Amino acid sequence: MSFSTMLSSMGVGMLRTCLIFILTLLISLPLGMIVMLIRRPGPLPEVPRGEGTLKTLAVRLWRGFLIVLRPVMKIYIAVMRGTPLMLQLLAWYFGPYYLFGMSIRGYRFPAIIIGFSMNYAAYFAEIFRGGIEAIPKGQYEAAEILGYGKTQTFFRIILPQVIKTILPSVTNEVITLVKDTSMAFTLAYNEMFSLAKQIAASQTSFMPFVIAGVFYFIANYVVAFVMEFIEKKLSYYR
Amino acid sequence: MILQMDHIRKSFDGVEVLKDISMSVDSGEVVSIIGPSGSGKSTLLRCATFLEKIDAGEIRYMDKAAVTTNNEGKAEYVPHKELKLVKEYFGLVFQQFNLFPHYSVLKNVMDAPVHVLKRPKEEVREEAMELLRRMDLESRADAYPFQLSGGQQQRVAIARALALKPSILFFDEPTSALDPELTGEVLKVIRQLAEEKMTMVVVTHEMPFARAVSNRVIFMDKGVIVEQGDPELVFGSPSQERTKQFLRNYQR
Repeated sequence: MSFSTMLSSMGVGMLRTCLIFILTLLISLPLGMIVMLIRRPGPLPEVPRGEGTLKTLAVRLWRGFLIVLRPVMKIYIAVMRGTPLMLQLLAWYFGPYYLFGMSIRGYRFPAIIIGFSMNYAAYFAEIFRGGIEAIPKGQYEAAEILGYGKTQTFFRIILPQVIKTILPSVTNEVITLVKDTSMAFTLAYNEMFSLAKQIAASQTSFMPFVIAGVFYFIANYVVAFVMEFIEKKLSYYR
Repeated sequence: MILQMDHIRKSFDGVEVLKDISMSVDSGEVVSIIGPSGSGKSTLLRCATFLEKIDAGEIRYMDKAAVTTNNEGKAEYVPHKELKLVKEYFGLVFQQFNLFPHYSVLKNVMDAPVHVLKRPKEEVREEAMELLRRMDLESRADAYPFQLSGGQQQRVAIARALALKPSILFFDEPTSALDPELTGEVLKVIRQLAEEKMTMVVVTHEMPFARAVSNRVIFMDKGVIVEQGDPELVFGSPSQERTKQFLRNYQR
């Protein structure tokens, strides 16, 4: 098998790898933000007096939601960080069958995306929390005195500063994700690294692994380049 | 009466920091609050600006009740919407400036009027530039806070507070985080505001400044107001032994 044939047979695997990567990021970043907002320590919201009933109801619901979900989120993060991703993928894929006797035909790819997203959301949540806690209390107090509402304070004052501080840690995590995509072979999904192994075995050649290595390296080079660009963009203030 | 605080009580973890404090501030008055560390003066300011919740007592701004005491003797704040309106009466300048680091000087001053009060941007920009001119910071409008000295940052913070046109401005030790060299420029600005009859309450350790600028000095110790009155009287011939002792310690 020639080099170019190898490359082209691995090409579809590369696309699948990219797909896992992109979908995981798209889901886990917002999900991590939601997990952080629930898990974040601090006083429960106070139910405002004399508000329109709808708002009071919403605050009440959110409050009850937090009371129940905070401990759940803690356990979720502990499990996601405390067990191997490979095991989690197996659990997500075979779980529905063993627990509920559901058919898992056609469920392979969704299981991979759920597995990766849930795992990475846990890590992102902790990174976000670190970023939020690094913001001095004075920023919140200044915003409050100036009359900003809670949502405005978060989006106008806090979040932009959080993004700047967490960027290096997020870069780390994203780079790890590029390499972790190879974990999908656990569920016999033919992403690039699985194909590389198959071709290497059938052709008794080491070349597919070299191609795989170069692919990961280039992908991460691009990731690092993009992240560095964003960091530079945000370096206008300290 | 711009601000009226009556029988304020505040405890932190069972330790009473404010013990039945009453004070009021009239329009155009400049009041300095002095006293040793831990006397409760900063807490009083934080209670007046609702950054801390009082346990009991009453707070009114412009004769509008913000906090009242119910029958059980516990403080009750007016509903959120009303409190929000009351908050527009005052501004606060922090010891640590607390400027928004990701906004330029001009945006720090403009952002709240534009996005909180929803005022037209062009109009706000003109006012903001005028404020920066008064703070002698016109040329630094496009700079970011980290590029400024502490004194300049504090002057931006004052401009930011003034941009919302408060009826009363509080200062929480505005020069305590500054190099001695830089305190002068901030005090000069406050003095200028006093001449323009801005109503202000200043918690400070700058005794000569308090004496020269304020109409009234309040000396606090251990959560109570020990003595208050005309600065010449409080500084010149204090009636309380505790005040004398405090001022003596200061002169050394």
